[in-house]
Amino acid sequence: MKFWSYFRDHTGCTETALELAKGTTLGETHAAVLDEFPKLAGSKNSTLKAVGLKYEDDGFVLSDGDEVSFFPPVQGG
Amino acid sequence: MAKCREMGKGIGAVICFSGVVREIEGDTLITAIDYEAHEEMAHHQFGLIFDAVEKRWPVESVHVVHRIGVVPVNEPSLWVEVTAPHRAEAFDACQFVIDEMKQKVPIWKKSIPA
Repeated sequence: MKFWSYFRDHTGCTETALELAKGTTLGETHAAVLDEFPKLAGSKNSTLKAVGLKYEDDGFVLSDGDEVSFFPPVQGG
Repeated sequence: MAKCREMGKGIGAVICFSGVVREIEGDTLITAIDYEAHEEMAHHQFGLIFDAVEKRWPVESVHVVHRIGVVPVNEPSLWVEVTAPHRAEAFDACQFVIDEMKQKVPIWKKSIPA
């Protein structure tokens, strides 16, 4: 999984890999990430989540090799 | 820029919008904004926005340029051009592209204080 913007400052890394059980959802993955990187907890409700190039909701079931991105609200313009 | 482009003969409106970096961000005086993007996803999300525009308005074309990296105060960070038969749909589509971009396209900014 990858972290963008100031989430990188909170995690101290641009990406990490997690081993997850088959059938794990994006929401469960987010919870696992918050356990590993507690500094992200303050942004829990505003975190945007994408799998590959698409936004997905917490119920999305991940597949082997999926690239997950976590990032704060976007700010283009 | 629009003047140099070829347009269909049914085009009656060309809207060009430039978003420019202001010297005040919140309460802070800044010299520039440093933009970062998840570029591959940004392209994909812009594509979805363009598809939505095409379904909703009879626009002929939409072009968007968003700068990434350090953009100094007074310089444009965003340029949007929409061509359409009439100004109403051109303005609406332009506004829509910018509104959607600000919700969905993964670009972030970091202000550089003065």
